[in-house]
Amino acid sequence: MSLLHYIDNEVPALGEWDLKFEAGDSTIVPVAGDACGRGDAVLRTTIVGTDVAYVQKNLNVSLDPGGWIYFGFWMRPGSYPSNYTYPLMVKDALGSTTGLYSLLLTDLQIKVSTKDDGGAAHTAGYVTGLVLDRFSYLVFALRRSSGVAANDGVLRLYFDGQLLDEATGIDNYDRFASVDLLRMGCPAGPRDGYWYDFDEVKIALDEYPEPFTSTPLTDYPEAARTVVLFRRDDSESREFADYCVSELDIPRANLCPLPNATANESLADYATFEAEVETDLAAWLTLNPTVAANCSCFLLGYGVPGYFTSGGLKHSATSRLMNYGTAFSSQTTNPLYNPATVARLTKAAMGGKYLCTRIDADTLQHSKDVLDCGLRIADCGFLPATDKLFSNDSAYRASLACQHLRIITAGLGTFADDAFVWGNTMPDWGSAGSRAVFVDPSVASLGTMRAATTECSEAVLTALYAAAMGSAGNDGINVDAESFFEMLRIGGSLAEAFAVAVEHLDYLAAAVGSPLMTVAFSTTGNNVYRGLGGLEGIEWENPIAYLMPGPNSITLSQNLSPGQRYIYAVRSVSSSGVQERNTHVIAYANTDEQGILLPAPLTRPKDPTVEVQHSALLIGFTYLTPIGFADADGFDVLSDNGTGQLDLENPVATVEKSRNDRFDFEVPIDRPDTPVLLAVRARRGEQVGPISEIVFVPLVSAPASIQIL
Amino acid sequence: MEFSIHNPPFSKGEKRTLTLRAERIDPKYLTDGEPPSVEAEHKRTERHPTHESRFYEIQGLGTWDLGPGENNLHPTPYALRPVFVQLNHGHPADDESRLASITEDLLSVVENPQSAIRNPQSGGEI
Repeated sequence: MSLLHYIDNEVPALGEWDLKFEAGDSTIVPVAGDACGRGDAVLRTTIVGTDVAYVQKNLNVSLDPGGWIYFGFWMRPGSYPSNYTYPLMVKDALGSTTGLYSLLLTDLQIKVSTKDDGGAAHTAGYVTGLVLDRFSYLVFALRRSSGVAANDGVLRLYFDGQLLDEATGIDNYDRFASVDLLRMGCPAGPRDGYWYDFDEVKIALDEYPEPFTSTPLTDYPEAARTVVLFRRDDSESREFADYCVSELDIPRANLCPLPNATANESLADYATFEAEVETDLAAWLTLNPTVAANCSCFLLGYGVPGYFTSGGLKHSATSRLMNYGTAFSSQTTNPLYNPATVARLTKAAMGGKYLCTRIDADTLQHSKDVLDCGLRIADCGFLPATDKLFSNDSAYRASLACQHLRIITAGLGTFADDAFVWGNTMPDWGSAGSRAVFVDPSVASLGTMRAATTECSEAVLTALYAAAMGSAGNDGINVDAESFFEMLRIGGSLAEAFAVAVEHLDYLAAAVGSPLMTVAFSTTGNNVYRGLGGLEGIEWENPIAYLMPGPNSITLSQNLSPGQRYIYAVRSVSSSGVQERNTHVIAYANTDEQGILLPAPLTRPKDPTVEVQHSALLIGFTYLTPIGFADADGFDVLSDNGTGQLDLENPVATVEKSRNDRFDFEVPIDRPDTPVLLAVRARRGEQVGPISEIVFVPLVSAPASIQIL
Repeated sequence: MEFSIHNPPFSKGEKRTLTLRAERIDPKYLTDGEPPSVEAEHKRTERHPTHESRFYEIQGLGTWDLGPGENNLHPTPYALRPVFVQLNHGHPADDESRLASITEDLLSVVENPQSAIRNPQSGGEI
């Protein structure tokens, strides 16, 4: 595309324009307005009396025979003009400002007109009209006739990214040899009290100028990668799309109007769905290639068809649009389903698939409520510690993946403090928890969103769940809880979680909720690790269990190999998800050759000493219990009784360990008559520990009595 | 295309009568075949990092009454109204000709664009 000018009105003092013209009290000035593009300044034209006000851009551009010129801009009427008014005029090669001009009627219908070389008029008009106080993107396109007598000039009007009307067969070869200048604001037809805003003016040759849209901040689903579909001519559907702009920060350029979509929630067949939704979506994406390149997620808005029937089954529109761009084939395998390792979904990783959710309801306000609930979940920080995950999938609830959520789990029943419900259930509502996501894969659990008559729609519309997933038709859907919750746990959005959890595309799984909703599971708690041998054998990247804060014990089922020594360690994780580097809690598990778990070992007493007393020997030693070893009940003093071989069966003395904070011990024994070897060992019940160092005690006599000389 | 007659730039506060071409002006504004006397006054100049803006006030122009919404863009002068013009970029020596050009546009014979508009209901002309 040859973009001649991009006027975003952000340069001070209208520096992007060549001229400003204000007659009388009419004005055209920059004001802060809704950001449709770069910056937030828009140009506001305010008419007082019958005086014009406009800005002018000198173009002086020649059009090749058969060449196109496009004028694109955002426009927001602030009031109804009392009669026809002219937002845009172009001066052509014949010096006329009526060669190309636009006209706004009193009911805000927008039209664009041109005159041919003979002065005859040609018009492309839009009968539905602009909307008061709402920005719409208009593009006027004019093609110069390809030859003097070719009579193939064209005039087109695009509205919000879709071709609305055109006039063809125009003989304008001479008139549009050049386009000299552009005037915008109100260059003609001033109507007292009328005002409107315009912004982001793009003038281009030979290619449609798509509106500015924000550059995505990340590769992952986000507002700039989300396209909201709405019914163009339905005021409430349009209002919901605008709500997505204000509440989700969806760029206004990412709103895709569907001029052919009906109000029917469920369509007769796929061909009807294609005609009402996909064809217009495709045309819109073609005119918005930047949005198309960025888009990884669709949101079907309020009032947009959500189902169609195929093969006798009601199919889900969200499931179909996840496979958008590929020929419809019922029950297509989802390549994103149940990945070996759940990771955030980039557009590249999705391999041409899309994310898609739907927000529809019985009323516009309820649709807005669903969006608000999603924002509430995303903004609440960590889920409350009392929140629960209800599921009858006991295997999943016992799994490591579920432990990692650090959330209380329970079987299906009365839902009290419920944050998640997963499974085939008849809802029994108790006191509300955060109520984030309700998933019921059973038959027709989400057959409508416009009445609270199915499990999922009741959960959303009555119990105020932020999101739901269920089956649209008379068959269940296969969903994977582990992938779903793991995606949420790692920070993925709701739409990503749905995408990895459903087995089939082009099928029955219907997803409801704000696609960008996230859930913050608690990160604080303790991680349990296991390794062979010592600490060096632990893989710190792979905990074997996750504990919520509070409990100081956990029951684990472990498969241990015979004849091995395993080390178990626990590290705490902070609320910000940072895991400590120290290891304060360690335990060992030893197995014998039969694989029987052995008790924790006793360690060796240290520093044995012997003090010779008058008639006794005082044995001293130290016993410390290192991490991973068992405490001793007491100690045995062993002697060789002069034989040179310690008698392990008959200790010459024992010491009871009465207190856990005592580490040094002494015990007297009778002084033997011969040189002896002495040693000490710890004892716990029937278990005895290794022998300490051996102390040799020579035969010594008692010192003679002191004689006073 | 704006014509260009190089005159000295306006000095601060200078008033200058614009030279309008009678053949480009709607005869209804001519008096004995002569264009109306229109005067441009330089008000101020602002220098911005990106450009220079020169501000003028044009006096002697009539505005028009468009009538009750009929196909009428032909101005009917009924009062003398000042016009404020901001010229950006360009050479100040061209300002006089630029001001004259837009004044001529304002007073020119205007084709009636509304004759081109189809009635959206009937498909005919309004």
